[in-house]
Amino acid sequence: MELLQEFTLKDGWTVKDEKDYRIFLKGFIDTMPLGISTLIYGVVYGVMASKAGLSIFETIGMSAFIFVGASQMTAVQMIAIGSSPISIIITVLIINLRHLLLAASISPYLKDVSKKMKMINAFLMTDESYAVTYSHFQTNKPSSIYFLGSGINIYILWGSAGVIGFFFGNIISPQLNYIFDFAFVAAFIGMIVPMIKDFPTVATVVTSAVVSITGSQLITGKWYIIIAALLASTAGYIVSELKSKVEANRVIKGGIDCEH
Amino acid sequence: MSIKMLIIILGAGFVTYCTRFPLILATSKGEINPGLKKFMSFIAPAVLTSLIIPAIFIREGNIDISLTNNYIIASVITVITAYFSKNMLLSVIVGICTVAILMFIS
Repeated sequence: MELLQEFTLKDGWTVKDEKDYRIFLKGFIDTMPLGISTLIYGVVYGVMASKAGLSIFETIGMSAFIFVGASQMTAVQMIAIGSSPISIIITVLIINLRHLLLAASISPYLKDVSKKMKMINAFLMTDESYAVTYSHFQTNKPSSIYFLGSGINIYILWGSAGVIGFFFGNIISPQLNYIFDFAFVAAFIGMIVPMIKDFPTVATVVTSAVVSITGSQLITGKWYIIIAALLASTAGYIVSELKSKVEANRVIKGGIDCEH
Repeated sequence: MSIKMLIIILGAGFVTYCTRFPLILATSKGEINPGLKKFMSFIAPAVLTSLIIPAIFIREGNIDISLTNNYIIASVITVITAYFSKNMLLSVIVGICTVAILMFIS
């Protein structure tokens, strides 16, 4: 019973019985493999935050309120190069639009859940907890408590990893900054390369590279980031549309050939 | 904490939450236009690339495409590592070590 009382959340939502507690724990444990990779990733974020001159409270604050790896790293890098708050917020918004996809695909499973619980689930939703929960729901009874356990796992590990990384980053001497500044370039390369699976993505990356480098020389401020992001996504979209048209034509032609 | 940082953290936190909750609340209709879906799948590589390319090629305000720019060679080696390992931490370690080695030998 003592354990159960510990899981009473501040806003009055409580775990009703022991079964709920087990479901919560199962969600938490099932997420552990992804939690560990989140931990490693979070340490890199912490190092970057300390190198960009953030305080420990700012580093934790980002993890507590934004709670998205790629966005926090992007924000930190933009702070380091002196971007305006408004351009940082817009960039973060653009990157996070993909959450709409995750939310849309998981919402039918949360039909009978209270609005308050949905708001909490939404706050804790990340790529990781979404992936674990969605695949669990395919073969098990959907449960918002499972989703909660999964989300809390990533929240705790991500938050603590940032702190570890922050202190690690602080002990690196300033003379080595040139070397460790490369950490964020390498971290982003580590995220981008696995995303490049087809030709439209190649087109996106190349467009973004060309626009951002020209834009950074021609446009004042850091707006080139948003401009490059939007132009490059559009380029990727157009190329993939053209590609599917070409493929569709090929299928039609193939069909005609078969008739002869 | 400076006011600027507070605006960034709360503002970015707010817009992020706005991308998370509306569709979770709208349970029945979970469908998104396929065109929009496709467009959104290109956003992440687009934004991430626009952040690192200038950081690699621009040194002290000018475009520097030469062998004296250690970040270029280190980036190529990092890309190769990321491609074969699909591991971010390993890519970061290899990248940093490459920059360190290039700095000491030049």
